[in-house]
Amino acid sequence: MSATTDQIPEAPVESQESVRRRRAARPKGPRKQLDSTTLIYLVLIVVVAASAVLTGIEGRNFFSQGNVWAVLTAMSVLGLIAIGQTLVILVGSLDLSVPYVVSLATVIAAGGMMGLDSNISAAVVNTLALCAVIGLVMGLLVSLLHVHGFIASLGIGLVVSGYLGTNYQGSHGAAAPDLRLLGRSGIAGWIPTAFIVLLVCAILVTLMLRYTRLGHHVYAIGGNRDVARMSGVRTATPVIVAHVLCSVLAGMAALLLLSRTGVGSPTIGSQGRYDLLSIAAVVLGGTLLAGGKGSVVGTIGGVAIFAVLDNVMGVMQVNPFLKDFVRGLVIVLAVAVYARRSVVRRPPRFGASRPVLPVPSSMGTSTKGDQA
Amino acid sequence: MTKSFFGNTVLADLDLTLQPGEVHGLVGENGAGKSTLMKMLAGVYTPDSGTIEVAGEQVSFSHPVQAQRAGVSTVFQEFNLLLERTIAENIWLGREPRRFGKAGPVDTARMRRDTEELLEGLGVSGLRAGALVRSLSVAEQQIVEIAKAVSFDAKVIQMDEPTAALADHEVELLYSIIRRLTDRGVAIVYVSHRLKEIFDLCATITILKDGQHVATRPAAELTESELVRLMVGRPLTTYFPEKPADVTVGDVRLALSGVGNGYVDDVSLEVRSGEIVGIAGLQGSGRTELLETIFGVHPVARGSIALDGAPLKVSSPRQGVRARLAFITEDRKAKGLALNQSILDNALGVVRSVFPRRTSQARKDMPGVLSNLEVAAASMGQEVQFLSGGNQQKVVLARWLSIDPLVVLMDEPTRGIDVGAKHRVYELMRELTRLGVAVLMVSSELPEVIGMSDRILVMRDGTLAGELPAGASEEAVLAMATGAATEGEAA
Repeated sequence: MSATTDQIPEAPVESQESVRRRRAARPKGPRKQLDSTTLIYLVLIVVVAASAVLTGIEGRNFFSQGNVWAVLTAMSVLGLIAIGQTLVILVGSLDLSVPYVVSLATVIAAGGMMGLDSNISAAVVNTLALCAVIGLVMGLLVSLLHVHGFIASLGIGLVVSGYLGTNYQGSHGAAAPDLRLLGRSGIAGWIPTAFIVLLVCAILVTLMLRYTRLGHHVYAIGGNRDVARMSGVRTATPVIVAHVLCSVLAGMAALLLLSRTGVGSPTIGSQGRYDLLSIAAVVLGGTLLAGGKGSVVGTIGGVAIFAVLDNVMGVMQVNPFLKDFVRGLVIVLAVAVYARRSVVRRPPRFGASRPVLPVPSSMGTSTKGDQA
Repeated sequence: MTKSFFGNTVLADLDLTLQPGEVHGLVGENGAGKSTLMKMLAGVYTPDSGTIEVAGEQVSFSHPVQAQRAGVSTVFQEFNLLLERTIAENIWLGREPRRFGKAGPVDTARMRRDTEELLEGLGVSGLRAGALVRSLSVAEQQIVEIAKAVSFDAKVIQMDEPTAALADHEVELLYSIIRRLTDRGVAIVYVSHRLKEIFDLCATITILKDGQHVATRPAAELTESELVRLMVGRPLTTYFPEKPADVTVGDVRLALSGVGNGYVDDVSLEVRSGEIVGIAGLQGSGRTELLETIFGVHPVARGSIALDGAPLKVSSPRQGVRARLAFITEDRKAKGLALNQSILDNALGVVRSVFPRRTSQARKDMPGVLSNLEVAAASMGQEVQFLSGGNQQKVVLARWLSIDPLVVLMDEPTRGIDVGAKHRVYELMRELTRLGVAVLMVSSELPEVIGMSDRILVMRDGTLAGELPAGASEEAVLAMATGAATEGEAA
């Protein structure tokens, strides 16, 4: 019956002309695009090269032992926070409370240690546990009460900030000598221990994202919560875990800060502007702000670019306001580039830009055996 | 294997039995209850009454995953895929294989291997398990959806309009996949508007109409025209206002010649002032996209559009409005109205932003326009979200009337509104023609297209399939829209 249908003259036979026009209008095949992680590291290389030249003009060596140490140290605190922020953003949430959590963690840890090595482990455990509880509260707000992460973390951040403001004036407590030693230690005078902590955390989180169900579900929920739910994913757990890890990583960043400053400070986090800088580093690293796509590797690249830029502007004694200007420019440019690269279009019906799937030549004849 | 089912409300008392290895066609007009049936089998809705049995065992689903575990998988028309994840990650989402028992890491190698095996089993080559879904064509994404459905060891796979987004040569690939599945003893529920496909594939056909089960017949006993008659055959209940005698069809107002872009191709049509031209066609045939192209939402890549004889170049909706085109969108809540704003703000929305100098005049006229349209509301300050669908639609109409349009593009103008409001919309269309406005209306409701239009254009696969005169039969329109054969009806 269908054979006769095909020959009804009513079905308009496409004219040669229209076929030709259609072909002519067909867009060229998609340009091969670099993936954003490769792109960010290429940019990093360019930034490092430019910085080396600019530092050289100032009569200094960018690759000197001291300078490399300084850059890597600068990376480690923001890096840890940005790893946590990556997780939270990947799952489709946001954490604006990190600066206050960092401040709180420094005063709690420093207050617990009181400059004594014997207190160190208890203080560290208490601090990180407190951070975990803060993260848990945010995770529950976001996943169960469906408060958007932006608001949930803003609220929790304000609560913490209010607590800090009423209970602590000026610096508080003192870091244990062992912790301060850690802040000065490193490998061969080139690589600070803090940076190694950052690398280990980055590797662990990357492994989690790639090789655990939890990690896969983080991407799934951030990509499309409904699809994840329809596929039988429990959508609350990954959100909660991401928030807990983010706050704990902020706590670890606070301990690294404490190892350098020696005293807890209720304003150190907000002075560092870790909320916006960490989000900026994550986005610069190619993670979609809406979630579902991105990587810790990219984030570390973004953090490195900020650290190198800061370093070279420090060497050149750039006015601090100009520093912000440059940072802002970098962020805006990066986001504009990504937005251009990832425009989602409805797939066109005509002028398909992709080659057709090969139809198997052995349609159901020779491959019958595969039923076995 | 039997599957019996006695539904209710939207779908009344339906029995359906599927044999292993059978392709069972499910046909009916838009809103006949096909989707409801599928969603119940998929575990999205729970039936109010009746039972479902799979392989002799009674089952009940309250979540799609339960249906999938029981062996019923569904490929929905809208894809449920994560664009930024790979094929393998999409297929095994929620049940990723793990090494070393429950706490182990995800076995990505096995995931990849299983995916490739699965695709190979479907006879598909050239898809890598590690490819990002975003990088795939629509046809390839469709294959991933099917592979995901198969991966649950499905005994029954439902496919909702699987070819809606596919080109002809891609349909062949889908056929070959379906044949492989039926060879393995999988039963397929195949929903499609395209009758040719139904006859190509299906052994048995079930026809639904207005939620009622019309018939289930072996395909061999049916002809296409018989099938169309069974799908349509319903009394005309809606009343359409007569075409007024004093309306004269004037000069060509809107003319398209050879218009094409990524969504429609080679469309040439004319709408004269005072004329209502209806566009019929199946969902996904490019009707909405055609209106959007005229209005400036999609760029025109080929061909040209003229308004009152002068070339019309619009590259954004704003320019469309400036040219005094009005566009009543299909999705009123998403694209037509700001739901939490007042009636007045909504009605003035277009004038305010595009013709700000006319705003004060429009504000003065608005009470008259709204009462003329019989909008039932406490005051003009009421938020539109609290209005009924019909009144919301009237607010949309009021906002477009305020620009004194030359051409009114209507996409499903009476979707989801009550009979009274429908009637008012029809009357308004007649009033517009009296003013010399050209009306181009897209509708899925055939009686509406036939009852209101001076001429009917039928779209299929993004192009115009043909033109029918006013008062053509539903069968003729449907046959042209589906590409079925009906002798003598073609224009």
